[in-house]
Amino acid sequence: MTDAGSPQVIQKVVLKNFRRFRDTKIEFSPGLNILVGDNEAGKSTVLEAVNLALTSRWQGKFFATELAPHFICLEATNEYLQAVRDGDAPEPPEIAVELFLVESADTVKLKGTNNSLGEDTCGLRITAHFDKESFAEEYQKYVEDKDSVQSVPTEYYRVEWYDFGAHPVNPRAIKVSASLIDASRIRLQSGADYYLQRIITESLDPKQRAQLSRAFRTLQESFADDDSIRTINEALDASQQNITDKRLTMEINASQANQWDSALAPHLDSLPLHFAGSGEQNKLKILLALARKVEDAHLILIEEPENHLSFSSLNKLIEKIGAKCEKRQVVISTHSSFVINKLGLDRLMLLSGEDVTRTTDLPADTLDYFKKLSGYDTLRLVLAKAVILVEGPSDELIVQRAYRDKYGKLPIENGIDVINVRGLSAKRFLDLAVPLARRVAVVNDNDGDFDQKVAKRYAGYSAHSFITIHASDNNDLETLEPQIVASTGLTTVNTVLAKTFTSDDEASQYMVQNKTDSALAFFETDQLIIWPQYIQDAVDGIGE
Amino acid sequence: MASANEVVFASAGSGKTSYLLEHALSDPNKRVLLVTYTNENLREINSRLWESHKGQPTNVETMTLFEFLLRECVKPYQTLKAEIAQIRSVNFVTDNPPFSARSDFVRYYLDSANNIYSDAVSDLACVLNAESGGKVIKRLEAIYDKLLIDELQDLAGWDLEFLLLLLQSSIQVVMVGDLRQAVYSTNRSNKNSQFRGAKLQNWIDSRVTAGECAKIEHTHSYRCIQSICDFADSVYPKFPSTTSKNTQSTDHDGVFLVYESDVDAYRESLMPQELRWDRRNKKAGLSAKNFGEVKGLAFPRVLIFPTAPILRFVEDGTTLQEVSAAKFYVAVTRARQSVGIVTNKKVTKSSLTYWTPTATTDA
Repeated sequence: MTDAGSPQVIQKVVLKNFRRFRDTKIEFSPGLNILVGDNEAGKSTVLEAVNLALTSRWQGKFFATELAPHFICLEATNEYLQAVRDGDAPEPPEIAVELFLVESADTVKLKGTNNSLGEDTCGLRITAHFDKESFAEEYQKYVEDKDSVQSVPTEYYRVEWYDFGAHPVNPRAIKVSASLIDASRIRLQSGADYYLQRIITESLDPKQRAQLSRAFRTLQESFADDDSIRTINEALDASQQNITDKRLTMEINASQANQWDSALAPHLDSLPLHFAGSGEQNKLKILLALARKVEDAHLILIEEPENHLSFSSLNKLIEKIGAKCEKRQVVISTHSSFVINKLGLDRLMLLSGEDVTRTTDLPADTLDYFKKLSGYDTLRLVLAKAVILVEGPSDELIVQRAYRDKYGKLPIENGIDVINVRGLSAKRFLDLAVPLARRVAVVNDNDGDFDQKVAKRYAGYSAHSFITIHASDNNDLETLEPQIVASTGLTTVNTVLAKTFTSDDEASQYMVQNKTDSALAFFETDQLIIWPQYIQDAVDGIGE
Repeated sequence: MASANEVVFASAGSGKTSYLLEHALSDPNKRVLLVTYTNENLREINSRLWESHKGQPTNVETMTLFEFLLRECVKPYQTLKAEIAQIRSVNFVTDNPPFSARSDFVRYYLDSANNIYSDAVSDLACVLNAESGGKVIKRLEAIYDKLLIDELQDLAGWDLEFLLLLLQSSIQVVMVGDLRQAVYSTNRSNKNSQFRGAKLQNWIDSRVTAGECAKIEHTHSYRCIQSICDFADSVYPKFPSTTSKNTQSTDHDGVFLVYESDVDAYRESLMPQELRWDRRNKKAGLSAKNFGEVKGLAFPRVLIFPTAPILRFVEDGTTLQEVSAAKFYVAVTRARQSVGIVTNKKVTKSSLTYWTPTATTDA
């Protein structure tokens, strides 16, 4: 997939002291971006932050009213609190979210150098900082008793929203918009789902919007002309004279709060949308957002599309996203290997700590491989701290045991994933590990031909120090079982398996025929085992 | 290369605003910015724009000169000199501190509330453009195709330096003004002080010579009748004379002296708009307007309460100082049909005739 021609609205977002980010710059590619990361890595924060810079809203509500101490990153908070306790006079930490946009006729008025990188570009910047002019006195009182200061006093903060030209943002004048679709937070109150209403509104052109609001007003007005309402109003008017001198009537509330967009609710098959299942609502929102006119500078942010959807619905939805996002810039956060395999592993942005790694330039056949075998758990490799690739379930058990022998814990407890891959697929995983610089140890049988089956097969990865290949060069011991018999000795093997083999060959043959049972016995035994050197090397190396 | 830029010298009442609006609306695909000097004039332009387009044209923006310099030129690149979004607004009230050096950025340009001194706005726009390698102009070039500047005569000092950058940019610049109406100047700094007021002519002439703009003269007036044009022209004898295109006539047309004791009668029978230098003149009526406020406006009749120098000019042609001349010229050229000038002298060397209460009644 090439980026030329793919649409791009946003270039990057810079987050300072915001949520879990101290100082992070996240760049986006044109077209599709798939954001992955562990729980708590801040995927939602990134999507919400992009939307925040564009709308000044956080989860649908104004940021200025939502601002609370937990928006400020822990590190900055602790530094501030420590400095207060030390008797210094630290400035309360400032939050900044800066969104860098691609220059176009729509955005050029937002251009300037008023951003933390000093770049001459178009963009929006929302900050929350201590309001020196209004609260200097209150703040002095607040920090007077320094031991009582337990949090950053965000009640004395001011939120400012500027473009990079340093002009206060007029939200209606921003020609760039985003649909943020968050499946995990579907709001169910009638007609008040901000995001949904916005998406529907946005899919109408100005003329259609005007028609809709005129039709709604006509409807409101005709209500008052209804005969029964007129009778009721006359009766009311006659009965109220003890209460007030003014005329009392019943009318439809025509105030701003009761515009068509809050009174009308979308229906699916005559069922109000908020009565439909969450999955269905979610799907509809995504599809509406994708259906917008292509000319618009419009960005789509989707949080975990896999939520609330059955596998087959998800499959259909992903196909649609895949087809539509060639004309749109889309950022998707996901926990699903299926979603990333289907949409393209080369679009990954891996978020960990303050860093973002991306998987560009993956070989086409590797991409294709994962697209076809979309059941593969690629996210395990993406998210693990380090990975040991093994060739089968018995190898997996042995490697786990060897690891526990050395470190006293199973590998997964240290964030190390042992993944079982067959035959040539190991190379596909390595292709993915290269751009991520993921530490991978490959444990392989030599199958009687070390040169061909190991040395040559993996020669292409020798340049990467984070990838190590482990196999025995003793071609007489072709697989794991004879290797174990040779390394730990016949006596131990007999004890572990409760057998009385008389030769190494006999033991090996039995173990090969009962692969999983034997491996399980070795995994569970309390005997001390001497593991084959190449396995020991893999285990030793991965823990570094 | 022939420049598409033009400078239009237009007599009062020549349809200057219409000319600008025509330019603004001529091509809906051109992004146009129309800049003027006073808020009143901006309001006038906005409502005329709405009228002629039957709504707000989407390709035209209007701003005052200070708004333009602050919003579109200084603020976007202030980070070269100041903090992000540090500069707030323009300080029109106080001058920048004496003895401050331009190199001392904050002290020279900003007051304590981070407002930029009004004299320093165009100065800073030039500085930021130079230090950024031309980014200020590049940004404007990306936003606008055409820049229309009204009230050119009010530009001075660093404004002219910035205007020069615009003339040399890819933006088409059309400037319109009447040097005889230079009643304000945006910029009192010493930069380009030799081009203050009517001497702006010299600056413009050198731009024309350099091929940076073409000069056009509109020497007609749709507003004032010929005798008013002639009288106004006499304030600036060196300028080309004005031809009236107002052919309407009433029973009281021309320029008259009005003796003080006849003012009430004049008011009653002719209902002129009264004009004064400023509010210190207590003889003018309650609805009187200051000379400086009425630029761009037109009235059927005006009654002028002159200052001593203006009266001397009327009496014996004593040359007026620059600002007096400009203000008086503006006041006279507001009238379509008649100008009355209040005097307390019974006899005069002036060729103007006295209005008498019976004169009109008899006519």
